[in-house]
Amino acid sequence: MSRLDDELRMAFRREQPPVDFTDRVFAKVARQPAPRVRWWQRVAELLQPPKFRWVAIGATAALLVAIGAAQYARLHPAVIDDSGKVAAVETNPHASETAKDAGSLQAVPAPEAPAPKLAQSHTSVERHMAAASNQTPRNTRHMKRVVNPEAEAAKEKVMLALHITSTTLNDAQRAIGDDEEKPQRSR
Amino acid sequence: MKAVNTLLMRTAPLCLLLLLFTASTARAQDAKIAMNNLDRLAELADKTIAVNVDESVIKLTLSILNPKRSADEAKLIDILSGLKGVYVKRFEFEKEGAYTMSDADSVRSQFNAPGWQRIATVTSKREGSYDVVLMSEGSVIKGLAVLAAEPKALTVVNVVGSIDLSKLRDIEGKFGIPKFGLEQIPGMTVTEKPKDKKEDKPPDQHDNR
Repeated sequence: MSRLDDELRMAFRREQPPVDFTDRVFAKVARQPAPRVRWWQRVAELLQPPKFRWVAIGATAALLVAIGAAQYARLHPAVIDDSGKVAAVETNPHASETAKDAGSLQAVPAPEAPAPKLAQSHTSVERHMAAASNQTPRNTRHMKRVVNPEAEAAKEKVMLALHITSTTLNDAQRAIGDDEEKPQRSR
Repeated sequence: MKAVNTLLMRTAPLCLLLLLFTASTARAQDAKIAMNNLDRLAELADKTIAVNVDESVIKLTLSILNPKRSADEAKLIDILSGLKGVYVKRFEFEKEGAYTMSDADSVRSQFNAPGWQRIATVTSKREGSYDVVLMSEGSVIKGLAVLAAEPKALTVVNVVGSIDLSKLRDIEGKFGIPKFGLEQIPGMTVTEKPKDKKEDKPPDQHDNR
C-alpha cells in the first residue's frame, strides 16, 4: 500500500517545465493556419440569436426606406431640364377666357382645333424626360418637380367634369330664376 | 362563459340580419345614377360628351395639386377632397326632338329612389326642363344629380360624395378648362358627327315636352 502511495506521489510530483517551453508553444501556434470560415458559415453566424435581432432590424429598416423612396419617386417624379427651370406641363392661356366668354358647354369641345393640348403636354414632358436622361451630376441641384402626365390628364378631366357640372347647375338656377320671375311679372 | 356563448348564439342571427339590412340600405343610398340607357343617343347626337371621373382619378388629381401654389388650386382641393366621383353625359343634337321623353325619364325615374331629395324641377317650353336632386345625410350632401333636358341637348350630371354647392357653382369660367384634345383623356369621349347638308329639313315635332 505504501509502495503504491509512493508511486502515485512520484507520478504526481511537481515538475518545472523546460525554460523554452512557452516559446516553443507560441511558435507552434503561430505556425498553424487559421481555420477557414466558409461563406455559409458566416451567413449562419448572422442568424445566431444575438446577431439575428440586429440583422432583422436592419433589413426591415432598409425595406421601409426602399418602399418609401419608391412611393416618393412615384408621386413626385423629378426631372432636370437644360435651363434649370421648372419642368411643368404647359397650360392653355386662352382656355379660361374661352370658358368665361362662352359660358356654356358648347365652348368645351372645339372640333376645328387641330392641336390637342395634351399632345403638347406629352411632348413637353417627353422633352424634359429626355433632358433628364442626358444630365450630368453638376446640374442635380436644379432638380424640380415635373407634372406627371397622367395626373395632369386626370386634372383636366376633373376640371372639365366640374365645369360642365357647374355650368349645368347655373343653367338650372337661371331657369329656376326665370320661372320665379314669370308669376311676378304677370301680376 | 356559457352565458356569453348563449348570448352570442342568440344575437348572431339578429346581427346577420342587421348587417344585411345595412348593406341593402347602403346599396339603395348609393348616389350614383345609371346613365347607360342613354348610350343609344350617341348615335343620334351631333356631339356627345362623356366624362367619367372616379375616385382614383380624383386622388390622382389631388396628388399634383398644391394649396400653396395658388388660391385656385387650394379651392379645387377643397372641392375635390370630399368627392368620390363626377359623371357627366351630354348629348347635343342638331334638331329639336331628337331624344324622347322616355330617354329623359330613364334617368328621372332614378331620382325617385330612396335617399334622393328633389330640390328643383323647372319645365319651360323654351329652355327645357331641369331636375336637380340631392342625396344628403343630415347636413352633409352625399350626392347631386342634375338632368337638363333642353330642346337640342340632354345633359346628365352626377356628383358622388360630399359637395359644397356654392363652391361648385363658382367653378364656371375658372381654372382654365381644357378646350382641345379631350379625346386624349382616358375615360372621356367626345364624339362629333360630320354635318350632313342633306338633313336640312324642318325640325321634327319635339316629343319630350
